[in-house]
Amino acid sequence: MNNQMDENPETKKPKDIVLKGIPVSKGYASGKAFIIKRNIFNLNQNGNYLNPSEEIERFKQTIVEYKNELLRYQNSISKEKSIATDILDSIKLLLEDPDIEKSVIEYIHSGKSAELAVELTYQKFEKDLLSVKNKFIRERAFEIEQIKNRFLELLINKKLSTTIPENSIVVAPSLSADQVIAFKEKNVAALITEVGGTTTHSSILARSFRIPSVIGIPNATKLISNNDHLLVDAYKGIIIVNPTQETYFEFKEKVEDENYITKELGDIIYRPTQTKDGKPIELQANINYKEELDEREIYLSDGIGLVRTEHLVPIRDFYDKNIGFDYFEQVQYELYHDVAVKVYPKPVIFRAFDLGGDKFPSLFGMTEANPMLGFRGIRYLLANPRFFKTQLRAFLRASVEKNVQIMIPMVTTLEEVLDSLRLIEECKEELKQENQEFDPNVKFGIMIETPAAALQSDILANYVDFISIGTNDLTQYTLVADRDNSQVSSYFSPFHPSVLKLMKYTINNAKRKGKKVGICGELASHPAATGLIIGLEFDSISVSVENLLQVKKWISEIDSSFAKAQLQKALRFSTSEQVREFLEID
Amino acid sequence: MATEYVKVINPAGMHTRPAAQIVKTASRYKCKILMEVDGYTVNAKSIIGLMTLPASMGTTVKITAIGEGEEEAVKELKALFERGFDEL
Repeated sequence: MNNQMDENPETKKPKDIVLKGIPVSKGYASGKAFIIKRNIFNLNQNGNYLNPSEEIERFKQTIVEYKNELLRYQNSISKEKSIATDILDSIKLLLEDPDIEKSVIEYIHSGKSAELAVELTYQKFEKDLLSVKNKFIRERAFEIEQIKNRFLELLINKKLSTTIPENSIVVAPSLSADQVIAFKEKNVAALITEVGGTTTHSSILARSFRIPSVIGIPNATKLISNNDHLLVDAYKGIIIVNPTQETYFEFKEKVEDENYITKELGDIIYRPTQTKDGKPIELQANINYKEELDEREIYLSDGIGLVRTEHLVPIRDFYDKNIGFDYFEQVQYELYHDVAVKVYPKPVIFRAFDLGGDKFPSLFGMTEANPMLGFRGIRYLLANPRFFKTQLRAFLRASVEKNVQIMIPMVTTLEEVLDSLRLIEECKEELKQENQEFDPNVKFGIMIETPAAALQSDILANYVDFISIGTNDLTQYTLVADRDNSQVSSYFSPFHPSVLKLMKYTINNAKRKGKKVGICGELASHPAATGLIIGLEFDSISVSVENLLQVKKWISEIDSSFAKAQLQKALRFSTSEQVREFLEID
Repeated sequence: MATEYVKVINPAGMHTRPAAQIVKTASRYKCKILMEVDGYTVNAKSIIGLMTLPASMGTTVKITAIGEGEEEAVKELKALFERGFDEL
């Protein structure tokens, strides 16, 4: 986890102190810091140990007190229902846990005070949790620690920090679920913790209460002081401590922008993407550069439907600087892993380099009369297996969090699919030999962007986990029209019946084989195409970051049965002009 | 003593919520109830114990009950697993 003390890139001006962590609940906030210090119980000190029965009584009394507190929270959030209720429930079970009770009582009988007995017992179980392989379970250890702290507070009769002023930004070592509820009652503006996890109960609750929240800032309670002015960007996971006036105004503008978009698009942007009649569809983002991952749209999406790795990776370095295969693989691995971790637990589809055609033609030091019909996409990769394998190995190594999916571009033949699969198997074998970790079940998919692939999708679908239709190239290759060539650009229309039929045919094949099918191309964010896309019953739509929220809104306004009828009609037209007229596209 | 083997079928495995359901169900019985995965055994009435049980999807869990109501307890817990803790 990062703890960089970055500096304002513009030197000479007063500098901002910037802390970086992991955003777990989106939003912006500005306010005064309220520090919650770690409770340190001196383990050598044995409190006011009276006698075993007295200590056990105090322990049991505290359980009752804590449970009453939970009950009060339960009542205060009754509207919020299930998630919070479930979470409070699990804390209650923890308090009633017979194994914990048994251990505490054993410690007390061995001469420990109730405080020390609780401390030692929880420590033991925290250690057990931290040794579990599952990362979600390990994250629970942070919460258990906070529950223990609250327990100890009640045990030694310290009242919960009741004096938190409204709109404070809480900075704590870590937080338990019940603390988050308590802070919600105090209308805190944001939560910052030193440790935590995206799936801990406190994070889940912060999200459900819409409290912006950033975790993973080591020493936050030391680096930040009470009443420091904090700006929290819980999209990027950035905290600015005592900002300069200029930074503050910039930030304010961002917050106002957010308020505007939220108002304009409504609450819809925070809800799962679904049609007006409640049919869900995954809405994902297309990514070209690392910086785009910091956009708040990413956090409001269902993951990344397309990473154009030829943009993400500084591919020219490989050719120009001659950095070698191993180093090139390492560079890629770090980039991919970064992306995967940032997007986790949502999925991310990495598309293998789509080189050639109009992209980086100069790299290959050759000229083709017809590059778009030449040595591009998967053709280039399979002809350069050593090069391709650096990427496949990097994908696999980045897949340890199990949210990485691999996709190959510009497929035209079955052999390309089989050859790619064989190379992936080869890479897996190598990694196994090298004792490198990877996800053995990493999902594999293909882009359908040529008529050849679309017409053979019934066969290709047998060998893949998912299919993604690239509408730009599919349109270009179906209609034999370069959209950048003004003399033929009028031919380039994704609304042409031939393109629609190829899409429909591909989707039918994918569905019949039980494979997921998505769309990633500009058609997906065309204002008039939402009906067609919903009507085509794609499982997922991937659009550019800047269009994501708008598309979400369009989807929410359309009825799926209306969309189906619209598609049926559109498929019966004979020209792209008729389709466009029908969809009222000028 | 009653024993049954069950498979975890819900994708998220035995996380907190299913663990809570197991504890609630198990606690209704007087008998001692244990759950075992790969030789690691925990008390089925202890949520913290269950949370440390490495039971991801596909794992086989051995349920053992000893004492009053052992047959019913094992049967009810088995059914809970088979329903995917009502999460499917």
